[in-house]
Amino acid sequence: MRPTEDIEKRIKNVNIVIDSESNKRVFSNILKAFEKSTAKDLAPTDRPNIWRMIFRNPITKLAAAAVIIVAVGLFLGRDRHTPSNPTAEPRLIAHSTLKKMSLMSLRMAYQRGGFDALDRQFRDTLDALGPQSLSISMQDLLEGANGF
Amino acid sequence: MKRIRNSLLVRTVFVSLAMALVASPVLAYPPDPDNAALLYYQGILTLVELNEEARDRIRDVARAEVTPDEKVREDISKCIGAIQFAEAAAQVPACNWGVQYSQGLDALMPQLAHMKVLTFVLVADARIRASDGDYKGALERCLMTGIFAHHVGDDTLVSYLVSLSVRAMVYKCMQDIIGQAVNDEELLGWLKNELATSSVYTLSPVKPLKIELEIVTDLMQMDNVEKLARILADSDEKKMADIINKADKKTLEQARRVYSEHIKSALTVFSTPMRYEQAHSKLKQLANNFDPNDPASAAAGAFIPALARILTLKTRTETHANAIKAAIDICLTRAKTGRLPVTLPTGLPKDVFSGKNFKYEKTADGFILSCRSKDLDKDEIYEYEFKVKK
Repeated sequence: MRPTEDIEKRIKNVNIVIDSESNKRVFSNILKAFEKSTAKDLAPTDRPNIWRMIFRNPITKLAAAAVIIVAVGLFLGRDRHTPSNPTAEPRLIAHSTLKKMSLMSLRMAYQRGGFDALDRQFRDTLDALGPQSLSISMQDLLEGANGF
Repeated sequence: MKRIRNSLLVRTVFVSLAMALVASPVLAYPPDPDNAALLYYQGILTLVELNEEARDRIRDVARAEVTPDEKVREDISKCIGAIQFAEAAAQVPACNWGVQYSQGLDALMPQLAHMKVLTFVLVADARIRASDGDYKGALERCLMTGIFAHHVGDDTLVSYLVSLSVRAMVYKCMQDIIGQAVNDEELLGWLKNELATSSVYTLSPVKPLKIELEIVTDLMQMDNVEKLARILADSDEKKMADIINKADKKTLEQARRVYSEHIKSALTVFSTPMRYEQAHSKLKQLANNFDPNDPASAAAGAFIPALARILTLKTRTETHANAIKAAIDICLTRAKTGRLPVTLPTGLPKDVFSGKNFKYEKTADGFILSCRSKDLDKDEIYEYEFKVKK
């Protein structure tokens, strides 16, 4: 008889009487055991080797292979969604453009050339900040939220 | 009997609790923003699809350089989200753009550029409505843009100047629409009342000058000498190093004193009722009163804005507003009598440049209201033409 079958048989044959006192006692024991066995308290040698556990069992081996295949598929799929158009890449705002939006810079622009100069500066800001495409699909919007 | 009473009591308590839960404000959906800027920012976000050509087309219509065509109507139809957000924002009195004043003169204000685009969108929409004969809708849009101008605010001198430019565009649009709606007495009466009761046209340069006074005097401290040198040297490394080497506590203290005295004198001029010409002369004198060979005086002078020009723009905007109000009265006379008055009716708002009544002149197309004193910076007399629909 395999050990798991042996355990199942023993559990079936046990005559368990459940009362509130037993409940409390069991729960308290579980809590104590849990507190003792936190990963922090375990020495590295005490920790179970996850890779050994996976590869010892053929079912977990298959499951791990499936997880790897799905992860690779998702990774490649993401790559395919990336637009090849260079303009769609996120743009970095140059430091000089940022400076143009500062209170001092706008004030100096007006001081030097009145509203025309201020308008030119606004135009430069707009050229740096927009327009950007709003054609974002719901899939793009929710990308990375698969865990929810 | 007692059990029945208890049961009734329990039921009543449960029903009351259930009612309280249903009516509880905790369960109600959250309120709309109480800060108009949040709504404008959302509106601005919906404008990102407008490309440069579309922006130019909308700007040209807003400035009345071209009449609205199908293309610009299509452009404006894409801005409906922004317009709706601006409509909602106009209902909210408070507006805080979230400027980081702690950054002093380095505070970034990227929203100002977008405000200009939003103004073009709103005014272009008003002009499209007017070209379709919907004068009430067009004027409502103008009034709403006036609220936007107020929301742009006067926290900084630049935002105050942008606010003035938004108002100037609104008044130009109203100027063009009023003459077209000359036969609609009810509409003109409504507009007159709206302008008379509106409190949105009360921005002044006093508040931004006070804020600048705080920012600049804080900047003129030894702790901020590098920042100060960068601004004074306009990022010229050699000049910057020279300023840092020469700056000391005493010079900066003197610079702060000179700067504060000048700004305080300017604040007195802006806060005291006086004629444009007199105020302009005082402010011009204040701006020129710096010794370039004295480091403290030169440093203070670098931060003094073009005070006289600011006064002129303020005066010009107020004069334009008064011209609109005066024109509404003239058009009301035309609506009532069928004819334009021969002379200017009495008791109308005045030309703020001269403090006198506008010069009124009838033309073949309508009438012109002219100022009696000139813009002393540009040496120009402003005229406001109103073309009246036959």
